[in-house]
Amino acid sequence: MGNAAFVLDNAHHQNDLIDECRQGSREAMHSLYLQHQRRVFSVAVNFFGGDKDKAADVTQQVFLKLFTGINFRGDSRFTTWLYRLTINTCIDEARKNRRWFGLDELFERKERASAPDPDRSMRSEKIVSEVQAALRSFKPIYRAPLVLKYIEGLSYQQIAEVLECSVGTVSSRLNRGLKMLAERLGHLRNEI
Amino acid sequence: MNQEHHKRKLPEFVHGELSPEEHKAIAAHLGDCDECRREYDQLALGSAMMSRLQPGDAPLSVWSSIQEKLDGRDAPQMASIPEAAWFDLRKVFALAASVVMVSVIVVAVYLGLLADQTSPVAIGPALPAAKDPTKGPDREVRTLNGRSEVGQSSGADPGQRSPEVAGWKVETLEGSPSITNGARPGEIAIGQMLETDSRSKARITVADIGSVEVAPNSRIKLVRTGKDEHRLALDRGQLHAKIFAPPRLFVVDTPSGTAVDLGCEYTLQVDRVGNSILHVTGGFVALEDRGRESIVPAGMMCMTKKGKGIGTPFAVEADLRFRKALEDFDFGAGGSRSVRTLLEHADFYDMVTLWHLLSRVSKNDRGAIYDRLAEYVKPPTGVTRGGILRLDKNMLSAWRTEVEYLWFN
Repeated sequence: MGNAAFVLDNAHHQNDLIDECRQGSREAMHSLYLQHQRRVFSVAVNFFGGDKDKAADVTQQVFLKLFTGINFRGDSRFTTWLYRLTINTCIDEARKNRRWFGLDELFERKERASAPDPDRSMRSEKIVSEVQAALRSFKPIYRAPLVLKYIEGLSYQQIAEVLECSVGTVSSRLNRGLKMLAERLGHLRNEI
Repeated sequence: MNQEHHKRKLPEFVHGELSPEEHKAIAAHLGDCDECRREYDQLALGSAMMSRLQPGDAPLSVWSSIQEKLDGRDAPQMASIPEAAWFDLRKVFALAASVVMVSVIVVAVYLGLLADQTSPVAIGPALPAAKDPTKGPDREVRTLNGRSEVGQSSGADPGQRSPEVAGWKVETLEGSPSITNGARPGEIAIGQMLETDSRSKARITVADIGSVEVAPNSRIKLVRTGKDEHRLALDRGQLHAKIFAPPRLFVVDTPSGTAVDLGCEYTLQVDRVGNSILHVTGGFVALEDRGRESIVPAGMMCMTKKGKGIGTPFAVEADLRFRKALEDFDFGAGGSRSVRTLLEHADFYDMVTLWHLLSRVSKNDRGAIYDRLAEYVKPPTGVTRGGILRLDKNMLSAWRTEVEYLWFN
């Protein structure tokens, strides 16, 4: 879905819709929301390791920011700008983090044991859950390009535009992110 | 092409970002080079794992919530809520404080004149007296007791004055939190202790500047409350503070350091030994102990250890090996060995930590810290390597401003 979005968003219709939103049209806001909610929610839910409540909260924040005054100036593609807003909102939310925490939890994170699971669908769920948990433990600078690449299918150039960094930086962060994932979840090698 | 070059291109190879010629060349190379193939295998495994993740639609309730928020938009709009940038907050606080001070002075002068003209009895609350720099905690309590001096002019006998102190409202969130020394129901006063057991939680309203939630298994004492300072002591357990006040007005003592609010939201935990860990989620907190200070911005944490003092702040998502090395540096016998490990695992997000380390590492290690920090945050004009190596205060301060700006933006 990712690449198609970049083609579509340049349409004249998109700018008209944004203008109508600026004028307060609730109908236009709903149309814009329907067009982009999946994009925003998908990035957020995977950024937060499958936490749907957190992703719903981020989605709400992003669209409220969009509708209540943050100006899209049209000097980048709308979806690029929207992805950037989504990632920044995710990062802000991640910084707030948990309110209560334990010293043990912070400094002695234990590797999860991987007991063999006979049921295939359960195994698959378990793998997804472990990948999500591992991803959530990464710093946002690694999480963001991984999510944009694998969930939204953006190219290196598009990711670089969203994150406002060089293509080389995108490449090195994806490199490190994938290796960290492989190292962390090496015990799942035979199940992938 | 050499092997190193191929390694750098492997992510692009995995993601199909190379030209057909480059792709073909690397594919051929992987057949011959074990080292590159091992690297490729790692990336391919990580890639296969990431491919398991799926997109999804937002729950239907999200649009309803957005509509509700849009309908109630007479409240401040989200876009107008300031970012948690310290620089902006400082301006807001400074402006607000100035406005309040000017207003108070104007009203006081006006009322004072009015009082002189109409009646010998003072009108309204007593103005804050100029702070006596020699004033210690006991004096502070007396000043607080002296609030009823306002009533003195109406004929009350100072000798008969009740030694009442202002109390803070305490709300039970769960279970049965207890307050020692026979406090009034729902209130904690100076010198009194609030305790929660494993099933209790409470919320304290901190004068008129914010609130503190007290987690289970905690013990907290109200040490002081006055115009210049509100001070709690957290003996053990955990609190979450949300404060909106000028910097340094709200303070929490722990057995191993003092957390000074600089306009913020944070969680502070103290274990049974007296060690603590601070996690800041909004604004800044200064951790202080015996002349040493760590400035901890939102998104960072900092440890203190009883008898060893305060540590160096680190990003919440800092690499675990980085954290371990930092702990070893701060509280163990890490020294240069820890510094090397820190630099090995440091990245852009560790900029605030690196800035703090500039003045904490030995002179021999300072150059390496400077070089790494300069990679992430360009030293501003006038800040030189030589100046930082000799710990020029102005240069350190100028660079810190730059680091904090980048951290929040």
